[in-house]
Amino acid sequence: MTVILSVRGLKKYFDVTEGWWKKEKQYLKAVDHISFDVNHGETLGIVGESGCGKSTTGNLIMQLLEKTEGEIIFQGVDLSTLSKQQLRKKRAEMQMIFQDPFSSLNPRMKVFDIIAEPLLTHLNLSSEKLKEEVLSLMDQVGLDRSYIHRYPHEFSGGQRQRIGIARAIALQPKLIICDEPVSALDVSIQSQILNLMSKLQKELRLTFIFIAHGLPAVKYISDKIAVMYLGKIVELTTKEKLFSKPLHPYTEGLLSAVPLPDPMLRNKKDGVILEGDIPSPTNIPSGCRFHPRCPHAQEKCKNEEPTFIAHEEEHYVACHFPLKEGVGVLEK
Amino acid sequence: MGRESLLEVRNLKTYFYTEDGVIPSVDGVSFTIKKGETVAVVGESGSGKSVTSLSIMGLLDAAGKIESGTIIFEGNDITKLSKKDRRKLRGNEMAMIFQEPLTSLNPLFTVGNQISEAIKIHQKVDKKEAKKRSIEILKKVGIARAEKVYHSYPHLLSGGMRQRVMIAIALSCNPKLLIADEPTTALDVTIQAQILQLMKELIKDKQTSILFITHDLGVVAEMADQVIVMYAGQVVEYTDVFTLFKEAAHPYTKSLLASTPKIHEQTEKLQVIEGTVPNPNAMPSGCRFHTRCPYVMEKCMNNEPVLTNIHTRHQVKCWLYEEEG
Ligand SMILES: Nc1ncnc2c1ncn2[C@@H]1O[C@H](COP(=O)(O)OP(=O)(O)OP(=O)(O)O)[C@@H](O)[C@H]1O
Ligand code: SF4
Ligand SMILES: [Mg+2]
Repeated sequence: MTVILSVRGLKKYFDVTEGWWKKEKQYLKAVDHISFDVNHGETLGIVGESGCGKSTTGNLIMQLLEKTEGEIIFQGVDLSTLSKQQLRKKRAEMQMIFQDPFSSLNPRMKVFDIIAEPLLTHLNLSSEKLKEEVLSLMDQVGLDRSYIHRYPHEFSGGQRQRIGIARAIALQPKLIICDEPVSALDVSIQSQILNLMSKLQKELRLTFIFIAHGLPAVKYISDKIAVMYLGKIVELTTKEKLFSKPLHPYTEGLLSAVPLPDPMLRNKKDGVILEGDIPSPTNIPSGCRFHPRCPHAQEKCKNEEPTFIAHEEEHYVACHFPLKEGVGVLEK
Repeated sequence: MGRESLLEVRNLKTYFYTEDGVIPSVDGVSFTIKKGETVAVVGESGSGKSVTSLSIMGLLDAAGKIESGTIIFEGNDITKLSKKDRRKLRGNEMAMIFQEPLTSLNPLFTVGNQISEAIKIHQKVDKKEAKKRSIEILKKVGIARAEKVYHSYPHLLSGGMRQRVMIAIALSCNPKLLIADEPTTALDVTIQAQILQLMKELIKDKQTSILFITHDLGVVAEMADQVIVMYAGQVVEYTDVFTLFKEAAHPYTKSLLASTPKIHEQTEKLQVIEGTVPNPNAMPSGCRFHTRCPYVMEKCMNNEPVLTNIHTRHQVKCWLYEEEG
């Protein structure tokens, strides 16, 4: 397996100082030193609650935001060493799919133009070839060819997401960052889109970074999952390990918070309900940033920040006291 | 079981009169809520869940009208009440919490102001006593620094805190019926778990009945006693929560269960319901699910099945079960 993307010590601090007269700058640490690798053809799920820095991470990789610090190495090349033009070419190999397919599609463009746009800007195709290409993309994502001259508002949320996907795969990218692509859709439509994405991944040997709020949404599509909390990755491992034996107390809490669709399990879950609110990223707790909500916190946790290390093979965690008997949810 | 019924909705039809024509958002819905019972209404967007609850609360906007049917609350048909009496009912016997509490809290008044106002009206106490009770109730809904929150404005609170405040306001009048419309959908999952836990504790104490509207089958499994599954404005299945998850009968319910992610199971693939929810001003003929149903038969296309008892307390609206009824 080859690594297609490496992220090293990535940081994004937003300057949120109010008032120019303030001497001391105030920073919002949206992404605070994260590192991970993604293998070619795999899916890395990134989950965490709102504001933990998932989208910022995606946007940094896509070069839509300027990083504060760190390295983003795509196909062996540190993206910050590239010239504008080289970067533009590399960027065609990375695409993005967004949560709200409506606001990410131009309402005045027809389906044809939306899907054709990236092809037009990057390739030199005859108009016949272009149309052929667009129609074949529509087939691939399950859009009826007869819709080619319709506008986005004439489609349902699920169909709009298909348009977004067709556009994203048009240039045969290697990596697609999917930022909550199904969160706004109904359950029955979510499964359609997830299955479509899995199918395309196999057919086109795509690598996905799949961002979502919750674990259920990433379960089916991910090989590995990174759990983020307040700008940090707190745990990163294979899906199986994460669901069956979490090491980080936050992951355990996140797992046990998911209401399971089986009333027989109602009061049988042994997990804990995490207390308290998520702190603001402008005022990050000292030591382990999870300590105010952590049921296992000890004195050390308040003062010393845990490092993100491999506790076992392929199982990274940032915690002074990784769980010995973490409660997962997978039935044995 | 043999509990008294609190609310009976019979053949409710609520239509909206729009420029695009008449939209039958709720089209013949019937169910009963007993005292102390939680009834969940589950369905996808546009299935008529919220319109059902707004009809019960008497909060439909000008375009919406209860076309026919009855809503019997403690023995009285409340669709016949005057606006004024409806409002009185709403303040005292029924309360509602919404998905986004910020829209239902007044941004110009402090939290304390809004709760104590509600308490002053409903419990007929003076200002000082109202404040005392407000702080008590804030503590009861799990707000640690109740004094501080009492003096805060809603926008300064987190989503979870705001929902706790909304619950505090809703419960301040000791309602018999609480309608909760996607109360945790906008919240993070660890906060959702806190709020669901809180709601369970509060109803255990007070025997409050709840109409719980959600699209999340996990939340249904966690909270409900009875479940109503809605599709395109109609009830397609209605039974107790255990039967629903074990022996769902309607093809739509079955598909919905099969396409719901289950983090506790080893399965690697999600099942899919093909197609999309029908457009409300172009409802399919016959069974409204026939355009997406894997079991569709000739008669489903033109004839509408009726909601039939397939077992005691298990109703299904589907031709597959019609004979057995
Ligand atoms: N341009 C910006 N300026 C200042 N702060 C920002 C900016 N963009 C994001 N943030 C902040 O950075 C933090 C991380 O935001 P981000 O959007 O990455 O979170 P997220 O995990 O994607 O959350 P959600 O689940 O809500 O989508 C948040 O506190 C957010 O408010
Ligand atoms: S480092 Fe301490 S506070 Fe942080 S997660 Fe581990 S045990 Fe909890
Ligand atoms: Mg985001």
